Amino acid sequence: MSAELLSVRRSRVHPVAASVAVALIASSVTLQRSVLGSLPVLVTSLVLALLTVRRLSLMAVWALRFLPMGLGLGAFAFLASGGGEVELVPLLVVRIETMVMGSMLLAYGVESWELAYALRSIGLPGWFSSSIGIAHVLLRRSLRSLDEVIAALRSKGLIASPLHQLTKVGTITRALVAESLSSAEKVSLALEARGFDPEEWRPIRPVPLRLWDVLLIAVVASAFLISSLL
Amino acid sequence: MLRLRAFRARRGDWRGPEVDASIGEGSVAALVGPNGSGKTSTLLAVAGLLEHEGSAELDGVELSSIDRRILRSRVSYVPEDPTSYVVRNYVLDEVLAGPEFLGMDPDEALRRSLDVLEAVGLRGRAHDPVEFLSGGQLQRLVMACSLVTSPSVLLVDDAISQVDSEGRRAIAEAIGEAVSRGASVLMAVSDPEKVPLRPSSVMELPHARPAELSLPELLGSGNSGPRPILEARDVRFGYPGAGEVIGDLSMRAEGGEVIGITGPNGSGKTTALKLLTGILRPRRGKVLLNGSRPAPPRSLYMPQNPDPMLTGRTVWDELEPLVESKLIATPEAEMRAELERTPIGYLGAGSRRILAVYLLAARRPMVLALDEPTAGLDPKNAQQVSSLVRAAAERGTLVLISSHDEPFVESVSDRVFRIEEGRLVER
Repeated sequence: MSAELLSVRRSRVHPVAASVAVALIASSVTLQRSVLGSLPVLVTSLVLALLTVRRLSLMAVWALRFLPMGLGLGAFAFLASGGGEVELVPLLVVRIETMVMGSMLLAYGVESWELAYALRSIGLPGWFSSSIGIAHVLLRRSLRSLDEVIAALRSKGLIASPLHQLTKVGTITRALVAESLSSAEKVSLALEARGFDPEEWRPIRPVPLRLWDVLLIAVVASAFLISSLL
Repeated sequence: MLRLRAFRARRGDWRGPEVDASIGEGSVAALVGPNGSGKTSTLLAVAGLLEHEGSAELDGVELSSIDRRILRSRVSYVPEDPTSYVVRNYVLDEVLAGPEFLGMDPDEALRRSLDVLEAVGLRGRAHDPVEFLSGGQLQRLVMACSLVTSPSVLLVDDAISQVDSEGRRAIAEAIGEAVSRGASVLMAVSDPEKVPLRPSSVMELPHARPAELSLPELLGSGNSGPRPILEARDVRFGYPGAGEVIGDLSMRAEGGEVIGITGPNGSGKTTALKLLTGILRPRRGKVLLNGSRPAPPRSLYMPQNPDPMLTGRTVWDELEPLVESKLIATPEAEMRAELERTPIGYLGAGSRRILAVYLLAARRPMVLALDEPTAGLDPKNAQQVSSLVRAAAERGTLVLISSHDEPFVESVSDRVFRIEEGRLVER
């Protein structure tokens, strides 16, 4: 029974496979200069995020949250080009949204400590692997905290409408940073209390690779190639 | 044997109360004191997580001279706030973390982890995500994490503040088992009535913090608008991947009432409050406040952890907008100066909770929902929360309280409901 329980994998995507996929997605959309050329990678990211996260509403929330950033960067690039390249606006929107969808593989498809286990198993140092794992724990906490922070600010009347989530980014960010710093301090204390030492730390179980992980990388690599040909 | 001599926790210039104690093998001692008396700091210092003055010896050896890994396997700390302790995303993984960090054999670590989960009544939740656990279940989980290394010293910090009676029994039995194995247990307790296990010695601590939170009077005699009427009809709700939590919730309540909601940990009390205040949308059924969906500022919700609400640097930063809106009285110059001088971070957990209740009550919402408002509070602070709840109800607000603290709920509520299989049943 113990061998069975210790071989349970929590991550929907193998952490290394997810990392490689995200790196390919980010490289592809960064190198691509046309909207049409970016579409294969956008569609691939969307489909993979849907298969991994399995919550369309959550994907929609994050897509909408980053939409102003894409529009803003697009507008800035358009103005910086002297107003001659209007295609920069949709290109930047597609680029940001593709990265958001791709990042969801890592943020929601990977279990934090399995990321650390996997990095350690490919020979990276314990301090580095565990730091990445802990950073992932804090990222997951911050994603959860964001909803708590927004609810708390709504209760205090600082956010009165959904539009304020866009116009009061500074207020939300300040509260989120304060909450994240406090969270980081607590995680540090909890690790210390249980004797965590990054130099000595060894993973307790392996993170097995599955066929799905290989397929995922193959699909992303194909999208990368198609995109570079367009 | 744990021996403390002239022992004081130290945090910068601050010094905790002096503690002298000898806790033999298989003995239980209690540090009893109000919120802010330095109980948590003392326990953290004994655990080696905070600096200290004086001496702390384990079996005649000074704690600070014991190898760090050995010390961590022999001395376990159980925090008051379980959310602060969780570093992994699944129940079993969380318990395995300690043995893994200490380099224990995987099979042995797994066997022990399953045993302690069984002891605290969470064996059936081993593969659940931690985020699916309620506050009380989290407290049981951190107790399991602390027991998994079979420590010689167990430092328990108000660890039953959010736990239901079944959980209290499970935690008491788990600590009792550690005691029968020979562990020395030092418990910190705010309310002497809520001790999980009868101690053989009690040390009372005085109030150590100089400033007690004194707040201006709430203004206004009542809601100027229509009398709030909250109706929930056949409400059903479940979280993605977690099945249905609320099965068929129906109730009707009016402004001026205080409604208590009780039930075991994980029964859906928090979810019910979030549905009734409009934070969550029902999958089926309707929640209506005077005919429309409840939302801020008409309905306000205080979460179990109110810290994200307190965004100001000082207490005055939080109160100033309320004074300007004439929702609270303008404080005297002396009180104002004190509030301006008091950083939020300096407040103890009890004062922060009271401040959060006060900030929401002052806004005179139609519905005010408080989630575990007395968790970790000493009797005096719990009384202050009770007064704020009554003051809000007298101003016409409908107050909803979710708590496992049944004596508090009974004392402050006009009606009490219990959640049974996702339904609200009036008692």
